[in-house]
Amino acid sequence: MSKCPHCGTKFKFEAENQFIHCEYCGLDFNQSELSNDEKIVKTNKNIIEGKSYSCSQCGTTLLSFDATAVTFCSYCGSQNIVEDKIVKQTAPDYIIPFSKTKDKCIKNYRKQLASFLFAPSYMKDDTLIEKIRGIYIPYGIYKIEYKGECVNRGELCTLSTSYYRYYDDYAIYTDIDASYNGISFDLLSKFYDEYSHAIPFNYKEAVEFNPSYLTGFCADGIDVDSDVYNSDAAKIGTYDSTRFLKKDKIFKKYNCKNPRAKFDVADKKVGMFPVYFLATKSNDGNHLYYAVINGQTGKVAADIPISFPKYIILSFILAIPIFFLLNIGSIIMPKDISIFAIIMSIASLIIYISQISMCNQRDSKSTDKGYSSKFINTNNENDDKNRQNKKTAKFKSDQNQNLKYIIAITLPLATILLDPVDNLFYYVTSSISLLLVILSFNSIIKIHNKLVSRPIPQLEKRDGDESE
Amino acid sequence: MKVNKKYFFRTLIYIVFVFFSGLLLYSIDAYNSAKHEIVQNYDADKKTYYYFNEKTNYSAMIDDSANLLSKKEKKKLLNEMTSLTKHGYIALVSTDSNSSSVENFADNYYQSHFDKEDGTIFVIDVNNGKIYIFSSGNNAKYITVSKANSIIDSVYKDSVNKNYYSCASFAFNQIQMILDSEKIDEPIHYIGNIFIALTLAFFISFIYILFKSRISAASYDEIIDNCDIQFKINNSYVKKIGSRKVRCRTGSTSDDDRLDS
Repeated sequence: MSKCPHCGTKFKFEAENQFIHCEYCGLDFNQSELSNDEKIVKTNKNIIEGKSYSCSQCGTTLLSFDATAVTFCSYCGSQNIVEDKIVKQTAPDYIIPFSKTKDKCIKNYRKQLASFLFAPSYMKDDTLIEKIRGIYIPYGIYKIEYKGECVNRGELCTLSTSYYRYYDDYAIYTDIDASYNGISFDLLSKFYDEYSHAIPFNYKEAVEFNPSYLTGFCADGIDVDSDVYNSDAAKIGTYDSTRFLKKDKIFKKYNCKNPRAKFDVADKKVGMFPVYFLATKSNDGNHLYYAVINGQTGKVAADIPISFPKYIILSFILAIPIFFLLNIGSIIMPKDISIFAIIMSIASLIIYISQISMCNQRDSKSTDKGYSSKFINTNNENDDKNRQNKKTAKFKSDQNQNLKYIIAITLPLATILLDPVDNLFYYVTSSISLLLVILSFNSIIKIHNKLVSRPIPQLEKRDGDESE
Repeated sequence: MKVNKKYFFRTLIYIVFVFFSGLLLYSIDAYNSAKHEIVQNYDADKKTYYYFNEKTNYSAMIDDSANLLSKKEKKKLLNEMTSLTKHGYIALVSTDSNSSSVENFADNYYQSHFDKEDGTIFVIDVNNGKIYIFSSGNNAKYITVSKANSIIDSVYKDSVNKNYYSCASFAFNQIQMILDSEKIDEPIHYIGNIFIALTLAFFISFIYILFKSRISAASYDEIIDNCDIQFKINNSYVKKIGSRKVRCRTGSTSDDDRLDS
């Protein structure tokens, strides 16, 4: 399938110049120059054939459609990859070829890391970053339509007096013929929605699928039903319809505030979209930080943890000019310091609680539609128990931290209520409270790092047969 | 017995010499004493000690209604307060019969004695158990509330231990330093400011982290820009469905009453 028409050896798709390049004879071809043998044969069932490589650590399978061997897993970083079997898969309808090279994407990723002051040094290691791999991810391409009459409400003020206004209400009937084609959502459960929503693709650059585009890259197969995202696709059309309807004179005349038309999904296609993928293990080896780069636009979406020593040092440096500013002409009364300490303690507590709840939400994966549709909607009692146990364990470990916050809030509050004459009480209790707030940032940073990381996937093998 | 005339005149000269030397020394001493001895006046009616600076027309006053200081201490303290009269009125006021707050008392006392002139008073309110510094006019620009609190922090222990002379003396010394544009020690303030600065720095850094490190989803507009859009509005018509009356009170509206449907 991926053989050079000139010399018969393998070729691969070059992202930089969008040509197919033969490594043996050095020739470049574009799609139209390939003979019918190399192009896909359009039958009723479009089938492509490739090799699957299975990861023994997490059970992920990656597909390769040329002779390129897969030597490590992009999802968990493991090098225990085993060549599995020949796989036949339904060919997608479209593909957006890689237009950004790996080097350019690495450069963009490095830029992102450099702009974040608190990124740990090990994330910038060249040997780690070079493991970025280009993978074609299956996406559902939705076409939503509205054809017919939609009704919206408008009003006209007919009379206005000092005490009353008189309105006539109207129903505005509008005949609309509208469609949005190219709204896309990923159909891969382990490509979390958080990442896929952050790197949108331009459907207008999609081309008809040809397996030659896959050469030199890996691919992954669909494991999420495209119906899962029907309502999300329709919502986008409904939201945007307001923009068009508001421009119409009739809606302006009748003061229709939010006209909209409710769209439905009319058609769905499947496309392969290019993503560069990198999984970096944390220092303790128990978590992964993912970085995904849009292979079409180069946009980076990366989870970057915080290096706590860097955070401390930079915060101390920032504290110096703040300290000098406070000493120049500022009047800070002892009571003000106590009130400030209470406000900071409460703010810190709110941040802490919200971080924990976000962690719980993320761990439950309830917001990831793709993952939820595949793994969570099964009635598995053991899973429910495990989830409950995890929640209980989390709550126990937080009690020490909660105690610190209680002390931090009540000490200065008690001082304000008792109102001792000696201002030293205000200073001492406020200082203790602020010190506890500062120490609480250790826990807050730890939770933040947990929030931006993912557990190492463990043998989440896909169900079903990948063959036709 | 014949008197030796020679020895007589020698002795006389010695006596005269000693007399005039003594007189000279006494005069010098008297002059020095006169130079340092402030003219202190005592108002028997008001029971106050006061000093009037003829050059600046400001006065220093000790109104010890609570009898916290001895006579000697009052005189000594008044001596120390006189140099402050170049900046404005200066007074030590003690009371054991104040029923209002010490701030109100100080304000009223100053208004009644010195009107709105430049000056500072140091109040010891035995009834409320508080000490307070009140300033007015130009003095208030230098002796700010923060500075006054710092001085009170430093002298509070003396007042608790009933060393009122030391308390007042140190307080006036600090006031002098401020008015002469010298900084007083404010260690407690600096420590408090250090903690405030550190806390603010940690918060600001964390807010920066929240903005930078988290992944944000593409907006609907971004997604729509990447789509093929066709939107046609073919025709529209309207149909009246009802009328209503809305009460209007100075720009706000309340519930509406439908007149007919």
